[in-house]
Amino acid sequence: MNAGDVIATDSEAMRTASRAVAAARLAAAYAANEPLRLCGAGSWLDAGRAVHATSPLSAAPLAEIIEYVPGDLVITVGSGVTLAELQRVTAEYGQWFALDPAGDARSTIGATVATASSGPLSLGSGTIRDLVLGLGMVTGTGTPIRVGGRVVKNVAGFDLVRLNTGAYGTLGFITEVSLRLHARPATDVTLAVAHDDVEALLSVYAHLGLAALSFHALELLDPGLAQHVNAGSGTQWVMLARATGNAASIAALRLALAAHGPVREIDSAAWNALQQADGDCATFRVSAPPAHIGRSIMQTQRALAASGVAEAQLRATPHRGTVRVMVRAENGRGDAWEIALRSALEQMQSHVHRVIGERLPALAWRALPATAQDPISIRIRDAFDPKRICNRGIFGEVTS
Amino acid sequence: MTYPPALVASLESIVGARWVKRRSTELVPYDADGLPGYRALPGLAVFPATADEVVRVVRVLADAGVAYVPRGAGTGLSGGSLAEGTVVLGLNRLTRILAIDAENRVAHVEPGVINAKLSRAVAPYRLQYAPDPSSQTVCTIGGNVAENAGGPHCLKYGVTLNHVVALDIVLPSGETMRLGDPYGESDGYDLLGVFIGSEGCFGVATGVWIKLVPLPEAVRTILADFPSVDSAARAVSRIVATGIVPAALEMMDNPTIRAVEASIYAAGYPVDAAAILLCEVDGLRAGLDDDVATIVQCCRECGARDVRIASTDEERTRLWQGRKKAFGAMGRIAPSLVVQDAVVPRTRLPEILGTIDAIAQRHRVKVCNVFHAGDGNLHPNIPYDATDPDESARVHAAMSEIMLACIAAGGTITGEHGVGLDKLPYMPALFDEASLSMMCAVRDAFDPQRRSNPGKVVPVHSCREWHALPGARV
Repeated sequence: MNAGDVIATDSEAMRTASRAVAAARLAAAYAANEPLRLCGAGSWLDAGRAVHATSPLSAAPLAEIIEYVPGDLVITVGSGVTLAELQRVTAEYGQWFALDPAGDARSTIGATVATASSGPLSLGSGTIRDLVLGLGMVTGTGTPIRVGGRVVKNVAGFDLVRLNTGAYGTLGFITEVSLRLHARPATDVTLAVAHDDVEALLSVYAHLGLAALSFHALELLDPGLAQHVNAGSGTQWVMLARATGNAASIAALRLALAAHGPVREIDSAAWNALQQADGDCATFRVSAPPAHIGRSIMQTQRALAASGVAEAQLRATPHRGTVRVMVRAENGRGDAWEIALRSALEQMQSHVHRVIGERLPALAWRALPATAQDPISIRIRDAFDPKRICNRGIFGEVTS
Repeated sequence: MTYPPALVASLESIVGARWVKRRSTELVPYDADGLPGYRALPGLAVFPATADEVVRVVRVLADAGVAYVPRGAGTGLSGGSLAEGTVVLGLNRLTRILAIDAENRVAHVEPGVINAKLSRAVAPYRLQYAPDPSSQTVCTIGGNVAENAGGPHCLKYGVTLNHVVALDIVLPSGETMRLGDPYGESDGYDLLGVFIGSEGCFGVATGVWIKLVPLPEAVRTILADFPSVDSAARAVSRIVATGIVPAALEMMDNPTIRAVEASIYAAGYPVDAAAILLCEVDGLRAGLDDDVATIVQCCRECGARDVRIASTDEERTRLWQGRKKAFGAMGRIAPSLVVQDAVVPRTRLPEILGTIDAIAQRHRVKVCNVFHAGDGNLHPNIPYDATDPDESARVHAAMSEIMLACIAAGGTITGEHGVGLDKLPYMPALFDEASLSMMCAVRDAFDPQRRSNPGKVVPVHSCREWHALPGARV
């Protein structure tokens, strides 16, 4: 094929129809003042706070590849296309959508954009915020609009793409997404360094300097999580590092790690396992200045232990200063588990920089303040969704 | 326009009489932003020196219901900082670098800090501010934020949006607000993201937190010359397809090469080449030469006549100086220069360059093409005599056709300069009425009276409720 060839799996007529269906559904809901639960595949419906809605509007039917020009490294797809499908389609042309957020094979690109989800690959390829070029969407009044475009550099007009990325569907229903792709690296090696003490691994990270930022991904996994993804024995913390590029640069990165202790090369399936490790866990992120991540890990562990929350697994992304926590539900404890988690979150908030909830039980959400409640955010939401048809309540706002 | 003496007195009491300019002779320096054919004398210009003074000035203007236009160095090239008969709010006295946190790789700066000065200030920490517009020796960080500025090295490192982690802003009402978070993640709407690139329509940034990136361990700069623009464009696609992400991948066509080589910025470019590629890779030293070898091979396979690698820092600097000063070099050709900015999908580059050539011939204008080829960002530039009405009309018509051709090719009307005034007429060709209307609605969330840089970015007729609003005094 030629560089400029275009690949698509649907017809213009089909696409118009599915967008039109979504627009008509939202317009009807607007007219009837009927709140809707906007979602992708519906695999992560308990993300965010409970939504007050009478029926769902799913992106799953919008599962078409609208336009893929491999030579441009740009693809435009329906919002219901799964990340797995994106990877399958782009792999045929030696490319990939370099994003690995937590979730299973059903996760859709629409939900990934709406929740601003990213994963370890963000070190080398950026977050979802850096990879979305344009969106088609339907606002809360049922009005279809387009924002951004299909080129990698674009400052025409106000950046409503960024505004809708991470808006949790509160501004409307995303129907179409244009994405930046990358050429799949020829060599992709996963290295692991283990140590009893996370502080020792953080010291290794600090000593790596520029090399640490030259990996495509680098995460610290607690012993339990490392074992779960087959990267460790279950007794030690593991630094999991992904090196891509040419043979000489990968050898240099391996050498840089080896200067601080034994390095094992492990199966890159560990990254997929990490992506799918959530299961039905409650999840949240703890954010702090990167230089304070060791303290942040320690305070998170202390707060969980002091509140009686067992069964928690941690992973840390040092360059971002983020700790992501997965807490397995203790069904036998009923409300007590939710209350304990709430107590842990309250303690963490007083110590660390910020706690961002992803998926939490209702009682635990109460520990976190409602989001997007400043006057500008409220005015923006009023403009896109004046009747709060879209995902009402998901930010923890007061609903009536 | 004449402003009430009480308003002028209030402003003078905040910034001092010296920093409120009223006479036309004092205002002339603020009547343009480098875009030929667009000049407009402001009614007044006020220059606060601190964030607190900015807040107080904006509050006085809000109380008086007076519109204003924020201005950095005035190098935007889009007409975006023109302030016809209204108030210029100059931010170029806020020039302090407030803090450099090398450990967390964050700098806190005032908006008037010059782009290149920031990179020089953080270099001792082995850090840099990556976005590097060609105007970086004069343009300000605040202006970069307003325009979401880019530059050659944005191919690898990203544009301003990817490097600003938080802003302290003053809304047009005079209220202050923190957007983003200097030291961590944010939740809620990405107001930081939507503010960056809002061209001064959402308010003024008084403090900018910048994410710094490490200086590379090693850099390699490659110059390849090609017998045709097509072959150079093919080489661009081939390089990108290898998976190597060059720090920069720039192309210049023959008219540009000749302009540079005839100027004091002569860089040693081959004047008989149809096009040259300037490609840079950086990062860890290990493996870099292998990437260079791959790139050289890509260039040769696509028909490069010669490929050379800068062997010294001096040679590298010289190669880059030719590229960065290309616009200045074109100044030798004619008294005026339109520096345009558009983007097309990378695979459409050869086709659009052919179209631009045909348009230039039809309108009898000379186009010099310089572009960030790696991301399809074109700068078709036309040197001409702005005092010649016939030539000006032909240049204008050619530029208009070039913009529409870029849109038709699936591209956009600006990659880094912004819409300003110049690109307003093309916005309806890019976005439908409903989409433009939502842009207006977001603007209204920040500036309900539409007093901050009024009349820019989104055509006024797209704002459905424009006439229903209490009119801002301009």
